[in-house]
Amino acid sequence: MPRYRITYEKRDSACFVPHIVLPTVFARAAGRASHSENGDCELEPIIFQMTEGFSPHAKMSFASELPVGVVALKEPVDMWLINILSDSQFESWSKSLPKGFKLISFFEVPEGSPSISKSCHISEYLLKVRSADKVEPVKNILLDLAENMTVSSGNEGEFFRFAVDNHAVTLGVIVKKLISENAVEGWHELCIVRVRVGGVE
Amino acid sequence: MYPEFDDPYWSLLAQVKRPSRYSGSEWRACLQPQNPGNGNSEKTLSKAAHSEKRGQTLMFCLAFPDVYEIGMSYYGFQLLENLLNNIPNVQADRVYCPWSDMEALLRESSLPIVSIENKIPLDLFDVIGFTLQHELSYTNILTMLDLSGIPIRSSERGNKHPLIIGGGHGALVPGVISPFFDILCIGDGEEMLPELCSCILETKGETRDKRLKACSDIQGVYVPSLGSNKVKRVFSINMPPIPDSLIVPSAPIVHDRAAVELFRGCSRGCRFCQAGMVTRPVRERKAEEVVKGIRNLISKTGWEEAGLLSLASCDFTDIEHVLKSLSSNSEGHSGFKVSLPSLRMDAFSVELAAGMERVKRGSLTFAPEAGTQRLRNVINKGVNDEDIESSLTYAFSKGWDRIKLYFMMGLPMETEKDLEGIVEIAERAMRIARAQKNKRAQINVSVAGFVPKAHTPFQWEKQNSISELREKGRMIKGKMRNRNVTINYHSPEQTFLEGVFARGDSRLANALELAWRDGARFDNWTETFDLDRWNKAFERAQIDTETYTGERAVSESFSWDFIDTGVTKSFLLRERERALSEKVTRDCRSACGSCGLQELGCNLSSTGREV
Repeated sequence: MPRYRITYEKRDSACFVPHIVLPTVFARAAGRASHSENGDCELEPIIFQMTEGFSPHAKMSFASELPVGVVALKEPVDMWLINILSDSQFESWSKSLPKGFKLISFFEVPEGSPSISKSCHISEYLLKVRSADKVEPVKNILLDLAENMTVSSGNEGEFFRFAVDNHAVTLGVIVKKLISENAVEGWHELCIVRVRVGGVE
Repeated sequence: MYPEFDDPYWSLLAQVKRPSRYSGSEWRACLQPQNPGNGNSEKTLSKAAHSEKRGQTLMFCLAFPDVYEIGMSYYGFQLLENLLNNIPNVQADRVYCPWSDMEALLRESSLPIVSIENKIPLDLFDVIGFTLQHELSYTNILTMLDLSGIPIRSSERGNKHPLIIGGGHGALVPGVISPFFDILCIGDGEEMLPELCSCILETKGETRDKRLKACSDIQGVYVPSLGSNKVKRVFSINMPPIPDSLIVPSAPIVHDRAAVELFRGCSRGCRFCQAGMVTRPVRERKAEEVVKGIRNLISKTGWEEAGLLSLASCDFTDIEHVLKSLSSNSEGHSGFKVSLPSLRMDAFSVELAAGMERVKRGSLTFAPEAGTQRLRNVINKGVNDEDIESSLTYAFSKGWDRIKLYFMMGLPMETEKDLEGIVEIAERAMRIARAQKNKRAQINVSVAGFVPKAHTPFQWEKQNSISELREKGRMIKGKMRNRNVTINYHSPEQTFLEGVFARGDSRLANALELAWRDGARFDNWTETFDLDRWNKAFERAQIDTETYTGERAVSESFSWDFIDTGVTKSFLLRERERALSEKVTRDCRSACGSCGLQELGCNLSSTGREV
């Protein structure tokens, strides 16, 4: 039975959907996917493998938890299905997700591959500080914590681009540090985008 | 590049507890954008459409005066939003009450609350329709109006303000809230709203007074500013169609399942129960319709669980047939679970539950309501000792470990023996568990203070005071020695406030406003409730709360008497007499009690007269 690595986008209002309900959100959308809104031919249902234990649920595994309020452009997740996933099923699944979610790509993970948290352990972020006078202190702390610090300029103002190893430091820890060092007051002063999560082959 | 961050609400959402309460990432069938995942363009599109079409479209906001996870569990809004959006020229959104943290941020940043679907500020709607489910959520209504820049009192609102409408059980006892509402709907929303909407749409541009006058001609509409003339509750003798789809949340909510109503009304006639009196007659769906409806909703919504709703689901004529038909779907990977709330306390019901529960044996909940047979006869709760014994035996033998038992204290004609009876039933449950060799058994007893409700046979009764209820609660707790039984009783202070409003009149509106101005919010939440605030408000408004919670004379005319629910006052009085002489009245399904509905098309009235 196949294991798929799927990437998805979490934008707009979906950014506030907490990590803990994501399995439910994806599983329900999969349930809706075989039902066609336009009355076209019905697709084969997308059926998950279920976990063992007292309360079985759809088997899926996320690379790294994304805090609420963070925009994500390409989040990987592994989904264990019963059957082969077709392109049309995948497309319908994406359309069946709540506003702000979108599936981007999928491929079958070869048997015996390492877990998703092992293979996708580097997160790349864009971070912007809302008030200009707090940019410098934030930058200095980030330089201490993150690798590959670059500053990217765009039309939307200045975003810091940086990458971290999920196993070494999470976004939550970074923001906590920014707050404890009085660089910012809280998450609301930051605009954060997780660009991608991956690994070094 | 990332327009999300330009949203003025974004930084507020980043600061509150549970931002998903407000962000509105839900799935719904009709609003699915043509371009998948392109949420932003959908929003702008409908906003543009909104300003353009505002002249000819009725903008209706369904407002729930509690937080999202409570309000989103309410089936009524699923039904009404579906109904309203299917009326041409009507656009319906929903809104829930912001929790205190969000309220503070909104005030600080001078931002209004906006609807979930299209993020429209409430004052731009033509109509805001509140559901009145619970007395202790009334202050939240004022919060929601105030945060939208809408004057809280009807008399202070002008032509440019939305019409503020109320419906639900609270509208049947309208005194307390009447000064805050322009229109109250007495009856089933799906029966009344289409006509009301077209009246409001047709009178667009006219003065507020003219519009209200026009609406007052519609059956079941009560316009408080035009005086209290007799209003008959509007209901259909047929059930409304099952919605074709439902809105699916992406946030944890209290009742997270696809719900379908089995029937409305209740034939049991429990004398304390307002719902059982004011939703008569019993109106059942066809079993096939239920089965088809659930299958459709599960496939369209993706929900993994379906809930069969009603006041007493095991009473549904074809319940076995329905569950059997659905059980073929409950196996395998794409299966779904069926849940049956409001389980009756007898062997038949537990057997049904046992046949249904898939894999997991959670907890079972029963409501014997009173500790002795005598008191159960007084309240007409049709549960006897044998039912209690057999249902508990069956439940433990079938592998349930946790049993929840609901009781009331402060019931009319209650003695100490009845309270001891609660402890005895809990202990008996533990004995049964031991006999069934169930070592993990846990009994959870919950005792609520009885609140006499309007439109019931107990509307004349005295409510226990805060100290009486506290003493009784402590007494019950103190008598319980078994470690595997936990006993909780509801806050007597909140029960008190609920009781004041449950039989309240318009004089209480001042106190409500004063308490709210003093900071009263979410009074049904123990963490936010503050009795002192209310006592101060009552004092300042010169209200003697005893007038409301005390015994009422049979000769007294009530502020809700002009509302005709269909159940006659003579029936309520007759039931009161029977209660006082400990006489049981039979279930409507076996004998008609002539409550008044027999004249209004009740299907059960042909069962023969109660002797």
